[in-house]
Amino acid sequence: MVITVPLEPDFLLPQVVSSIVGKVLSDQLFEPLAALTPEMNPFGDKGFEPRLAKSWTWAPDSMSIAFSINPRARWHDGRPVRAEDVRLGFDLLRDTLVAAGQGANVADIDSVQVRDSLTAVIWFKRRALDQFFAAVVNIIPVPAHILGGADRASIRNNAFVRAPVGSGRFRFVRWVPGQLVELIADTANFLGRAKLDRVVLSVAPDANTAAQRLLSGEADFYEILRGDQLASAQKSPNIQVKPYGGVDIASLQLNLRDPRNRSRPHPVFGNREIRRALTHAIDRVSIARNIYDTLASVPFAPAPRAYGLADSSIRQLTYDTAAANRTLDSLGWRARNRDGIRVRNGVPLRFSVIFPTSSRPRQRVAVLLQEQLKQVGVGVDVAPVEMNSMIQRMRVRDFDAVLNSWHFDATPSSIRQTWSAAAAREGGDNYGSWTNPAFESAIDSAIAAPDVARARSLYRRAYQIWVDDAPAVLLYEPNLVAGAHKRIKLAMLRPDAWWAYLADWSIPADQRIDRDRVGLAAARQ
Amino acid sequence: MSAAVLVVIVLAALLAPLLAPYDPSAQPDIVALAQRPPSGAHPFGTDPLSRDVLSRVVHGGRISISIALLAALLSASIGTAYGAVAAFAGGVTDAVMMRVLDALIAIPRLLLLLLVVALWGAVSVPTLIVIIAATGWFTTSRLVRARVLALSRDDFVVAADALGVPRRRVLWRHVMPNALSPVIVAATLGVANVIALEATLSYLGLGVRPPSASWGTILQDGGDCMAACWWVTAFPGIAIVAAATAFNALGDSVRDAFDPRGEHVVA
Amino acid sequence: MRRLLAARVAQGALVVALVAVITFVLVHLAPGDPIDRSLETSLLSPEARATLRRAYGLDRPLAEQFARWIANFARGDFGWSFSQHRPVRSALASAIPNTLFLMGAAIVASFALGVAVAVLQAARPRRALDRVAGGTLLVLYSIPTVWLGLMLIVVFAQTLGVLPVSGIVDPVLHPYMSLWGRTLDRLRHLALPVATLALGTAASVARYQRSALLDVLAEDFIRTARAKGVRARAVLLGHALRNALAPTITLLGLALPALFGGAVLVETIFAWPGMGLLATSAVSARDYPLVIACAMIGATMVVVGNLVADLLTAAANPRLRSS
Repeated sequence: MVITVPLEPDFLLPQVVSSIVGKVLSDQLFEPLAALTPEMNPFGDKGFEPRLAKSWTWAPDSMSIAFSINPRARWHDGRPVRAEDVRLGFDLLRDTLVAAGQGANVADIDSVQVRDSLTAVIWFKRRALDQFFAAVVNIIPVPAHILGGADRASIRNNAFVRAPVGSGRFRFVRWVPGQLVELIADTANFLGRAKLDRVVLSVAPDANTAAQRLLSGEADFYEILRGDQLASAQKSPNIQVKPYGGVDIASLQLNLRDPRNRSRPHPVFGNREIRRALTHAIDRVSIARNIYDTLASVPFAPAPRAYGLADSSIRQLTYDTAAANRTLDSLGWRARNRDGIRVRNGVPLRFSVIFPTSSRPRQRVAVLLQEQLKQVGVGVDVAPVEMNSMIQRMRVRDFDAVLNSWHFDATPSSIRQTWSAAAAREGGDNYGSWTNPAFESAIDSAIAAPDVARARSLYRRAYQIWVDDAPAVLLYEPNLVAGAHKRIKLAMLRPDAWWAYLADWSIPADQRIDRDRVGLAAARQ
Repeated sequence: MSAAVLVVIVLAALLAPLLAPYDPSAQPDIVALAQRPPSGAHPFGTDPLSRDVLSRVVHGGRISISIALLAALLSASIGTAYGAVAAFAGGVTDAVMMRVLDALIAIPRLLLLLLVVALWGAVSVPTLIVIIAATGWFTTSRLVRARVLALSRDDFVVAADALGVPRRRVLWRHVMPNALSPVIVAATLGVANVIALEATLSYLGLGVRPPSASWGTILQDGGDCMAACWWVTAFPGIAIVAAATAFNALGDSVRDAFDPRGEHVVA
Repeated sequence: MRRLLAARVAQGALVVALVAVITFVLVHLAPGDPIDRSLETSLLSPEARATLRRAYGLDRPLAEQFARWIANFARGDFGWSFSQHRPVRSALASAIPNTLFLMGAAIVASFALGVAVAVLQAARPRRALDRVAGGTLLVLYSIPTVWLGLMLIVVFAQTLGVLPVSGIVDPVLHPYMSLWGRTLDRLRHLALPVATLALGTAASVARYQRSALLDVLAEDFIRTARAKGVRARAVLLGHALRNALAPTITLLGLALPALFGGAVLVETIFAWPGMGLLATSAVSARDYPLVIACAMIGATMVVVGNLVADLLTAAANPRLRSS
């Protein structure tokens, strides 16, 4: 089966993967100790099923969990999976020489102890509702007998990282840079042989080409169809389309500090009332319709509705140009210049919106915003910048507003990484430097809450504070639609990771085409 | 034929505000009116943001044609100046200038432009003109240098030298005017080239900033729905090809006029 | 002759060195560096990023980085690619053949097509066929490569579904095909990129070749041949074409930079894994060593191409050969 992706993977070792495509592959190659079930409940361990771990035992004080590794679990080279492999998985994450991106996710985990060759104990620094999630989602065992002696500082240059020996139901075959990565079923896997013989991830240069490959039959699966591509796919007799939710939110993130002098508030966005007025001035329902037709909704909060916390109980700032105009008038932005832009003390009410040159949907959103804000007398400079410049400018906070997109994992506590005061310092992910003590204390209480019901209500309180303060304009969260050839029997596509059950996809024997019949034979080189 | 096309295009560009039925950046209804096929109200249809494609093509022509004319003029001037200086100076200066030129020609222009995209992203129209001109004058300067060198060996220059006419004056009065014919031809063909290049640059992300539109950026706007909304790419595409063809044809005629024997220069 | 050749080679080397310097400066002027670019490091503290930067020597002054790069280059080491996580040399080794293959095919196709059309036109100049062909060529010559490529995709890949959209071979089946099957697979993938790249070049070759043919046909020896009763077709193909080819070969040298530039674009449109795709991804990843290497290889191709074209011109033109 051929899956087409619009980007090349970066690495295949879970600890250093940062691209989604790399994650798609490393999740096939490396099994976790336990995995989220389709209900995606991140609290406690009820929502998890055993994988490399056969079972686990909580310490009475919940400060440690002992995982018993399944004795049948094997690496693809035939060696058994052992407790040291779990410890190495953790050590690599924490080692500053490795500089792993997800290192911060395990800040609350103290250590991994090898009790015996098949028992690994994970020790926590503090209790939290989602501590089990944090442990098993991030600590992925890797083969210590191969990587144990590897030089940590240059781990990204280690051949293993691009040709790994894993434990998953698929094993690695080859990676042709810029073109494809090929996996085949690990026939002896203790969790059962993957139902597909072979999966090829074929790299397309951009999203359009990727969709075209699906439509032309060159590829069998593409994760996001949109607009016209979706319409063509629905018309095609060979393609099935499958909506699967999604956990991405697109937003217009506002910089609350002055980019020229970060000790000062931003001349426009420093004012809460202006931020609220801008939110009122943007017709988000229409924008979502324009970009995604009926397949996107306006988000309730900076958390996707797929996880069930953000819902209609949160009061929204609705589309109301009259309210926007009233606020802006009352703040003294009354006079208009020749272009119809509001002026106060000779300064026009303008700001620039940056987004990556390569993103056509965001370009489109920027032009929509420009026209809508012009109606209330706010000038927008549409400023596509090259991806590198954008990352650089976000990092040093040199921007007014940025069209950004967030991908959320299943635990709501990760919101701390984007909206806390700690993340506001340079290098952190709170690019807009919005901070609010009431918001943070609600989040912190939610994380430490004794039960799920209490946590939920605290999270909702935090979301309401956020929405009222409007540090970003939440634009849309798409209901993603994947396209696949009809002969592929898809398993459930999880909203946060469509590839989660790839090993259970199958192709009925009578519907196979040439490329499904190659079998497990090695390719002629 | 090509003259008629040229007149129509230039007139349309000049009279854009009168000819365009709508404001080219107005988005009347981004849900109900987006991506409508050609109709009586919108002869060229509407784009994915519900803007009128005819109005955008007419206004876009204004920007595209002015970019092309100005960039071609600028690059012809830079090329002429560089080539002439090299030829007049001669010796080591000439050799160094020519090696630098060889190096500039040998860097693929698109790689240079990609680096420029990396540095600036979307740019203002004047910057775009400068970027296009700055990467497009190399061949012209070679032509000019060759022509100046050939002319300075001509009998009338040699004669003027022998008569004691100051060299500088000979060069300015006699050599330069005669060296200009390949420049004019190259500049005319250059206009066509820039019209096409502008489309490429928009494709790469180095286009004029919205809400202004050029033919290249309109093409880009339709790039996501080429099969489903062909009219968004087809009309600016036809405009680009028509304008480029017309300027190329004009260039051919100019060349034939200068050079009836048909010793064609390659531009 | 030999001394001339040596001088040209030395000049060429100088040009390539200058290209390296120019690219080195430009790429370092651009914002961001290979460490910033990587999204994984966005979560890192500024200190951790500084460590990585130090490890790769990116914290050193520009002049020092350049000197070190030169020293490595002199030892035949192009450096380490940050984005591909392998030596630049091995990235180049897999990309260069693909680009040469694409450009070679485009050169053959465009010259064969261009010369053939020119001969047809020159056989009956200023008649209907000549005029129609002339107009068509002018239009083809004026079509932007990007638009042509996208339109070909819409027509042949999306609407008719007869040719693949992108890539160089079938990702799954290619290694399992017979020799014949693999050849066909390659040709199918080659069709659209080559058409995109070759049509415009073919048009300029044809325009150029036609006027060269007409010039030659007006010369005395042709009249002599005709007077001796040689048949029209033999005159055109045997006498005129042979003499008119020399300027076309020169055109080949001049067209090379444009073809290489076109290849960069065509490779990004069709995901052709060659130098162009490598260079564009290297630029966006701020993969300095790879960008510089790509620019140098591109420049070398152009320089060598020009040199070969000069030699061929000299070989084809007896008057030049003696001098």
